[in-house]
Amino acid sequence: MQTIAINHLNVWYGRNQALKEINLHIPLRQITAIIGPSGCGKSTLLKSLNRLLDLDEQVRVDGEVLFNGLNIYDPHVDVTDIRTRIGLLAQKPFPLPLSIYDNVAYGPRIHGRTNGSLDQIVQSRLESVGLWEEVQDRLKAPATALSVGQQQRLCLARSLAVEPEILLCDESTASLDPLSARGIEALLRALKETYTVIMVTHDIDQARRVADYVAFLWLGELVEHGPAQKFFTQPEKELTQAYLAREVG
Amino acid sequence: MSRRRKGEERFFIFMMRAYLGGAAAVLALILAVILWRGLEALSWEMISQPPQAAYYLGGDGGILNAIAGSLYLAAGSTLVAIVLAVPVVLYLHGYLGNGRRAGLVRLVLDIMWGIPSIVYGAFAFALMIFLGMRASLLAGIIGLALVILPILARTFDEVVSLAPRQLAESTYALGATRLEYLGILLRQTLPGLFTAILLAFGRGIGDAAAVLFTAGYTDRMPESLMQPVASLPLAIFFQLATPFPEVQARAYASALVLTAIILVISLLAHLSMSRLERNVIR
Amino acid sequence: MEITRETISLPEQVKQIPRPREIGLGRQAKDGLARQGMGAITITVCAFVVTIAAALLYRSWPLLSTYSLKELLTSQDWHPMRGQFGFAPFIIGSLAVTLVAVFFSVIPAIFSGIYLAEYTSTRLRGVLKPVLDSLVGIPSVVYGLWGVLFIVPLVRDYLSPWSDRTLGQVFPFFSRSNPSGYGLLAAGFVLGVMVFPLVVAVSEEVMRAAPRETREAALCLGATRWEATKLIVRRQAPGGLLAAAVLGLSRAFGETLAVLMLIGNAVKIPGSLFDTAYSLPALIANNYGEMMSVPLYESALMAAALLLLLVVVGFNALARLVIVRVQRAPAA
Repeated sequence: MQTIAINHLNVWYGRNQALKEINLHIPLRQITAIIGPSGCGKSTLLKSLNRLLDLDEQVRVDGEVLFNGLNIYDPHVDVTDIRTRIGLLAQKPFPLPLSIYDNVAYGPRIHGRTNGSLDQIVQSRLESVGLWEEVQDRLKAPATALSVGQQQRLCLARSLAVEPEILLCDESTASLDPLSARGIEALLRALKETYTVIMVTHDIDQARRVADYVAFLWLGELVEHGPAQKFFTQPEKELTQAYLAREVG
Repeated sequence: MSRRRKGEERFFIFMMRAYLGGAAAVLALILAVILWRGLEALSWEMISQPPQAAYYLGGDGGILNAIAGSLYLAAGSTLVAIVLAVPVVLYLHGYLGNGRRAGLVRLVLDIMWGIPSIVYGAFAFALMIFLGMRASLLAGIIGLALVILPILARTFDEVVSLAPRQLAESTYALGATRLEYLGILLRQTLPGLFTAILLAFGRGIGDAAAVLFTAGYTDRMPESLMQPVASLPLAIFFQLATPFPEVQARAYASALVLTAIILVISLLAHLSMSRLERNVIR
Repeated sequence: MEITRETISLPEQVKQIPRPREIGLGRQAKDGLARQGMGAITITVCAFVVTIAAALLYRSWPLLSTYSLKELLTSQDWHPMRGQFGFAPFIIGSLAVTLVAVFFSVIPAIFSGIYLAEYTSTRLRGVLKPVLDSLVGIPSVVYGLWGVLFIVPLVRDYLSPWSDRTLGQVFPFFSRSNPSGYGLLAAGFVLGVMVFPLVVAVSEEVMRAAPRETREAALCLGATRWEATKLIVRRQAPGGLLAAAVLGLSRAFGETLAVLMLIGNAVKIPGSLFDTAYSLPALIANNYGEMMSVPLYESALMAAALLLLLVVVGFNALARLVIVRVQRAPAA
C-alpha cells in the first residue's frame, strides 16, 4: 500500500491563491494532523486530495498529488475510483436522506455488492464505530433520528463501508460535544491500524492527543511538518513556536 | 468503475442534452419560420400606416393602428401595475419580512400569475358592463394590468430579495424609520425594477386574451381612452382569419413585427440588468 | 424609604447630558401613514382573486341557478340558442389537449431542469437561460401562427397519413379521422412547447433547493455525478418535481389563443389524436361577441371562466405550497 505524495501543489480560488507550493509526503497508516488557524487553506488541502475541489468552478489546481504512484489529477484517472479509495468525513455530520441501514449500505450498493453480503457489511461497519448495539433494532429508522454524535459515527461507518485506503477528516469533531469528540478520536486511533488518516483540526490539543505526524499550514504555505513528538517539543520555526504557544492565529 | 454505471450516466446525460438541444432547436425554428414568411410580406407601408378602407380584402394600408394601440395598452397597464406592485413589494420587504403573512402574500401573487389571461379578460368585461363602459382603451388597460401585475410584483420581489442584509442593518443603525429604509432599498433596486418593468411591458404587448373583450378593435389610430383600440396580437389573428392569401401574408409580417418588438425589449431588459448594476452598492 | 423618580437626585454632570431626542413627529407620522397605505394596497391586491371569483359567480348565477351542476358538467349538448349548455365537450377537449401537451413536454422539461441544476457550468447556463426566456417571451398568437405554418402541414401531410397506416390500424386513437391537420396533436404539441420552459425553470429551482452536502457526501463515497443526482431526485425532489409538472399542466389548461388557432373548434368529444376539439378558453374567446344576444349565453361563458379560475387556482395553490415546503425543509 502506498501513501500520498503531494508535489508542488498550488490551488487558486478565482484570483486568490489558497495553497502555495505544498510539498508533503503522508506517512502510511498513521494519523497525520494538518493544523493552522482558520482560513489558512487546511480544508482546501484536504479536499484537493480526493478531488472534491472539482465541484467548484472557480478552482484551479496546479501540481501533482500522487497516490499509488499515479497523479490523481491526471485526466485519464477515474475520479469515482479515487474517491472510493480516499474517503472523506465532513465537519458537520450529514447523514444521507435514507434510513440508518441504507446510509451504510449506500456505498457498497452503488459499487455493486449484492444484498446478501450487505447485511454483514452494515453490521460490521456499525460495530467498528461502536454504533451497532445502539441501533441494531431500528436499522430502518431515518438516520436523522440519531443524535449528532451518533450521526457522525454513522457517517464514519458509511465512509468505511466502501473500504477506502485513506480517510480524510475535515474538522470532523468540530460540531460535536467534547464527549462525542473524544469518542471519534478513540475510533480514529483504532482505525489507523488499517487506514491512513489525514485530519484537519484547529484544535492544537486534539492534535497533541492523536497525531503521529503533524503539518502546519499558515496562509496557504506549509511552514513546518514532522513527527508529532519532535514537532510539539522542538519546533524549528519561530512561527510554529508562536502558534503552538497560541501567541498568533 | 463498472461499465454499467458509466453507461447509465452517459445515457442520461445524452438524453438531457438532447432535450435541451431540442428546445433550442425549436426556438430557432420558430424564429426562422416567422422571419422567413414574415419578411416576404413586410413593407414600409405596413408599419407606417393604419389600414385603409378595404385593407382586410387586400387593400392598402398597414398595421400602424395596432402597433400604436399595443404600445398604448402596454404602457398604460404597466403604469397601473407599477403603482400597485411597488408598494406591495416594499411592504413585503419592509414590514412583513419572511413571516407567514409574507409567505401568504407571495403565494397569492404566484397564484395570480398562474391565472389565465382570458379569465382576467372576462372579469374586466364584467366590470366594464357594471360600470357602463364600452370596449375601450381604458377597459383594455384594466384587463391587461391585472395580467401583468403579478408578473411585475414577483419579478421585482425576487430582485429586492437579493439586496444584501447589511443594507437594512446599516440604514436602521443610523436611526432611520422603515419608510426611510424603503427609500434606500428602492434606490438600490432600481435597475431590477426597470428590468421587471420591461419584462411586464413585453408581456403586455403580446397578450391577446385579456384585450379581446375589453379593448375591442378598430381600424383607426388610438384617439382617446374611451374609444376602442387595436392591438397587434388581434391584428395578426384577424388578418390570418381572412380567406385572402395576401392578407394572410400580412399576418405573418405583423407577427414578425410583434416578435421583433418583444425580442428587442427582452434584450434591453438583459442589458439594463447588467449595466445599471454597476452603479449599485454591493 | 420609597424611591420615586422625583426623589432621586442625579449628579450634576449627568443632568447635563442631553436626552435622546424623541423622533420628530413628522417622520413618525409619515412612516405610519405609509405603512397604512401600503398595507391597504397589499390587502386589496390579495383580495383580487376572491373579487374576481365573486364577480364571475355573480354573472354566471343566472345559468347556475337554472340548471343543475351535474347537468352542466356532464351533458354533451351545446346549443345555446335552444338553451342547452352542456360543458362536457369543452372540459374534455381542454383536458385532452392538456394531456397531449404534458405528454410531449413534462418529462423532457423535468430532465432539462435537472441537467441545468446539476450538470451545467455558470457559463453554459448563461447561454441556455436566454433561450428559455425567449421561448417564454414569444406571445401565444405567434406560437399559434407558427403552428399553422409549420406544424399543421406537418401533421396533415406526413404524420397523420403515417399514423393512419401503422398504429391507426390497431388503435382507433391513432387513426386519421380528420385530414385537415388541425386538431389535438397540432394544438397539443405547440402547447407543449409553450409549457416547456416553465416546467424547466421550476424543476431547476426545486433541484437547487437541495443542500449541496448531499451531493458531496455521495461523491465522497465514490458515486458518479448521476448517482448523486439520482439520490437527490429520489429523496428530496419528488414532491417538487411533481409540483413543477402540475404548474405546467395548469398553464396548459388555461392557454387560449394558440389552442384556439390550432384545435379546430368543433363542438364534439375527440375520439382520436387527429380529431378536432374545443377547449374551454377557446369557447369563451370565440363567442364573446354573440353572448349578449342569446339569453343565458353570457352567464354560460362567465361560468366557463369561473370553472377555469377554480381549476387553475386549485392546482397552482397546491403546487406552490408543495414547492415552498420542499424549499424550506429539504432534508428527509
